[in-house]
Amino acid sequence: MTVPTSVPPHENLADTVHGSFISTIWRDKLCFHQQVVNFVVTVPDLHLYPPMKIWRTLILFTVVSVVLFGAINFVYINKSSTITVRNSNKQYHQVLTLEQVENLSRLRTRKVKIDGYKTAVESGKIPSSWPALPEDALSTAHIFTEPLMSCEGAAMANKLIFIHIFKTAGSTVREFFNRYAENCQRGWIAVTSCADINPHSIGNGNVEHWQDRRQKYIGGQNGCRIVDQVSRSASLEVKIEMAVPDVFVRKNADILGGHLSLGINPWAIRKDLTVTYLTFIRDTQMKFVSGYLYSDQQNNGGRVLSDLQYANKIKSRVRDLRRQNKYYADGFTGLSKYLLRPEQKVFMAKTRGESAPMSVMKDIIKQNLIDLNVVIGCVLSGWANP
Amino acid sequence: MRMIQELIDPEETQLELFEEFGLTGKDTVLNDSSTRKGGTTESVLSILLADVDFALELREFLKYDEEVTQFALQLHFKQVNELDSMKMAKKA
Repeated sequence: MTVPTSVPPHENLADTVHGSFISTIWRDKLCFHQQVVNFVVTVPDLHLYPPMKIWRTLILFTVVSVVLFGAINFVYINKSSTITVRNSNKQYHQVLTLEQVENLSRLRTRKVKIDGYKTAVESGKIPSSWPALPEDALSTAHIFTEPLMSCEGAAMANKLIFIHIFKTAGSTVREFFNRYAENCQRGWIAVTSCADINPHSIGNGNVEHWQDRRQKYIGGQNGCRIVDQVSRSASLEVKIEMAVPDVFVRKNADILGGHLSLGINPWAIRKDLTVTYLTFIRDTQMKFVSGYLYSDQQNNGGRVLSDLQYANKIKSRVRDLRRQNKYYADGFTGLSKYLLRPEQKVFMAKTRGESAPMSVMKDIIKQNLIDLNVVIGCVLSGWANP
Repeated sequence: MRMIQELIDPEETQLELFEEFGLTGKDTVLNDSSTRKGGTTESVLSILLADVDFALELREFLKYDEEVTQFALQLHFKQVNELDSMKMAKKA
């Protein structure tokens, strides 16, 4: 049972939010190519034709029942059993066998949830592991992108999202964007503590503020919140507040940055703009030690220890974690905190728990960097100070 | 910074700003916010790495993060090369 794998890579991030889970299942069921991982797949419409044979009508009737519960987006089944995967403004058609249609029906009738990934997770049809990264992933990656915006003229619709990985030049980059926005009259919004956002609280217009993945709280002193903002003009509202209003970000930001999770997209409902992600990487050892020093001082009221004391504390900490067979960035810390998409964290938390191992997540992160065509900046390794 | 410049200021109207933040012709961001009196990252790391046994343990502890970082670094180099090629083609 094979479906041709001619679906091209996605071109618009707006449609990629929920695609990973659904398509992973379908890859198992229908042998989709891994590229399909990036599509949201649902059923918006269904056409029944009078001359159809009774058995086919029954199958389609089953699918209709799924549609009534709003289960699937953009998978479109007509009389010739053609599946249509729509990627923004393009459509790609695949002809399914009847067996595949039956499988589709069976799969979809098990759970009838509006949420694609919820259906996947709760139906127990998720695979035990994520698809492996192709060996030639790096060599085949599309790399650069066209200019998103310009300092001159009216603001363009395109958006830039800066993913600030902990201890990777974030303060400098944020200051830079602040200055750029002031000079060029562009909208800049900086947020913090927003790396663990519920994907359904962003970009769909249904939730007032972004919400945390694990808790229900909205913002707060230690929660996801706006910490800096530059408006396009003096007449526009400025908000520095203990929460992140979804609509406000969508209306006012040309550049959004901070401790965010790769793949979040407040403009997901806008099909007419391009969102580009930017992040910075840093030498692993420097980043780890820098992060430890920062956290230690934060946790100890700013008290600064000697270099030797810090070194001994780090040794103790690392050895303790290694005795538990743990690695850095296990459990949605480090790179996995910022470079997994929100829905992937939900997936991992469901399948591996909140202490999901980096050994499992690392290939997903690599794939994300390629799939989302992330622009990657580099902080010099020899850099001594955080 | 060159890549950011290409993304948001292709006409180079903000060249001074980019240079102030480290645009030096290399793909580097600089940070001169060193105000810490003790516990500098580099000095602590040098102490850690002087202990050969621990250096190996640290490398093992960080190996997955390192693997992803190296992968991202390769992507970064490809992006820089592609940017250079694009600019060369434009000039030509």
